[in-house]
Amino acid sequence: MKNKLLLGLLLGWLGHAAAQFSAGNTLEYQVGNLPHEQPSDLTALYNQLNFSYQFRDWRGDIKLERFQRPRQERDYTELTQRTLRYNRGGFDLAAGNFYEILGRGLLLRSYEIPGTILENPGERIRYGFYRDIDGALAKFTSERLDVKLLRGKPLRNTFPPQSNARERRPFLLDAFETNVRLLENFTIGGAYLREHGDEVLREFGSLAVSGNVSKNIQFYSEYAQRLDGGNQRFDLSDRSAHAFYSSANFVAGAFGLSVEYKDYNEFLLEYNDPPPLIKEHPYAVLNRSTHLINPKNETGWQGEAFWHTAAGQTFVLNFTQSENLFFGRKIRFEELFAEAGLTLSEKTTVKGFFDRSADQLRREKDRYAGGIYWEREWAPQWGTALDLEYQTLKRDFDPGRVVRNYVASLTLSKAPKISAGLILERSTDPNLTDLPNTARVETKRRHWAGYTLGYQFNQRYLMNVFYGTRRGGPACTSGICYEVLDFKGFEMRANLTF
Amino acid sequence: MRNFIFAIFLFVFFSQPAFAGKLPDFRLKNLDNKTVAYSQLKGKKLTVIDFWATWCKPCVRAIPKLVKLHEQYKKEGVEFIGVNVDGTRNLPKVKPFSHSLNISYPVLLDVNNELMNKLKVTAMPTLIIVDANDEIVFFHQGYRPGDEKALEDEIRKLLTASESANEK
Repeated sequence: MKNKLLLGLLLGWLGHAAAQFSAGNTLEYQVGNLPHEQPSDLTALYNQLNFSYQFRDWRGDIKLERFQRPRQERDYTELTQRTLRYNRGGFDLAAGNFYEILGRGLLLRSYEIPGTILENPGERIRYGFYRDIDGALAKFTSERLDVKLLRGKPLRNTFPPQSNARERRPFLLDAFETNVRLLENFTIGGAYLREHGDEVLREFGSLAVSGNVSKNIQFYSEYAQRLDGGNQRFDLSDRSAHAFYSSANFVAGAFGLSVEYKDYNEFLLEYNDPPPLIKEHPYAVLNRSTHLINPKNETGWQGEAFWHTAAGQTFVLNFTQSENLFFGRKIRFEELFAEAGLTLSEKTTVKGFFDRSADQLRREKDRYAGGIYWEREWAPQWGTALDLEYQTLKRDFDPGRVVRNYVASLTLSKAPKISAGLILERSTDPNLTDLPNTARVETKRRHWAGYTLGYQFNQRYLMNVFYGTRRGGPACTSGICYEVLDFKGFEMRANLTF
Repeated sequence: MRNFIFAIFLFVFFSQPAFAGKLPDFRLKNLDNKTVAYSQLKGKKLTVIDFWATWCKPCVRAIPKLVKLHEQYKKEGVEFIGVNVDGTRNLPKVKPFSHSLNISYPVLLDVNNELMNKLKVTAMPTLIIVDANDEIVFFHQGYRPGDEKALEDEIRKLLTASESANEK
């Protein structure tokens, strides 16, 4: 104990003296389980510590993850990342775990979604949500020229940290990318990637052009394809493994517009993340109904317009269309979304949305959603937010049944420290209404009710508490979609930054 | 391993400076796809950095308040920088979205969340204030109505402290 205390004091003193340490710690404790699953008071503790030390141009980072459940064979304490970096001017060198992207991610994208914890549905193991690369990276960035060179093994984040290292990182990648600014507003670039798998070597290449046509118009286009395996160059047919992505945006005063196009074929690599061109919604009923892209075969486009009036009103209009080839049949996803935000007074704002979509892959049609979000500051720093959402849909194999989803949440807050909320959800979806712990088939409805409390103790310590039942399903955060499991019980999360 | 974790916890509670450490001089692309360094954008006295995303409801609610504060304090040596963490999914929307919201301060694109990870940012939005010596002096996570008042109080407090330090 004495030694531990001395070590702690020494580290504390170093924190004072050198002022070069920084760290972030996320601890999540749960007592509960999937609703209707026993034991209902299963405990789980997950802790993630990110610790950095900076000395002049050098920096060392580690990520330490710990997971604990009563059944100890699933427990782990793993040093899941360790990186040494050197950064000076435009030069960046890294050895260990790092995140990198080539172009817009058609060939390669690694990422971390900070603050999100994944739960493996089979073994119920919890771990950080990231897909890094373990290897070495050399980068040079300047106003005219960007160069990247990397070699490493990307993570398969479907496997939790204590899995076999070979299962978690089965590929070795070598990649090179360069972008040159030829004119003031025009950049051209290219990338090459080689994947060494089990007795297989695959090669990919990409070309990208981007620029500003004027102050108001910007564009980006990238074409990537598999170079080996007899693929024809610049072949956009279904015979070649390729990915083509193009975007343009336009601004004029308070009006903005973006348009994107995609054509992906046989490009489902385990380390890439091509832009999905699907709107990422902050509204629960829409975020959950997202279309997950399939780069094995997908084409489509997305357009979005924004307008913000001088009086503080905002308008957003989005149209999305995607097509997949599914066993030789074309499957379509289509969505139209409109949102209006009105500033009623200096203290009151209200937003309303309408959404119409159809997803042939999920066999859902006539999917309509609408809702309002109202917020009012009713006393200095005291605020209330009310969110009401409703969605209705039909499935083509059960046309007589109308599925209805409801979300209602009320939050009360006192800035800058406290917020407390109530979230109620209700669904008549037959996929959700049937309770697994009864012999009957329940078809009427299902409810979820949860209470939240957030408290910021000080600048470095934030705590969030949840109690009740939480509806799971697909969720998208920072552009990445994943599956969230249902939960019933108590959850406490503490974030510490120092 | 337990000893190590215990030592880390002790370190947390014994190290008093809330955010010891300087903000590194990072480089990111701006909305015109040009690489810019933090040193080119930082304020003479203070720099407020806002981590935000287009899909994040509280971030979008906070932006008009930040624009107002920027207009109010830029003459006093306070600069604002928006760091967008949308990633590739929403990247083409960031420029039109920022323009439509009349964001008057520079917006940088942290496509890979590199800066976000470096500064241990885990919640959206997160506001950071950096002083003239690049020391991180304020860190706030989330947005609640009225948070802008707390931010303004902090800016005033730090400006007063900076003026008194200059007088000495």
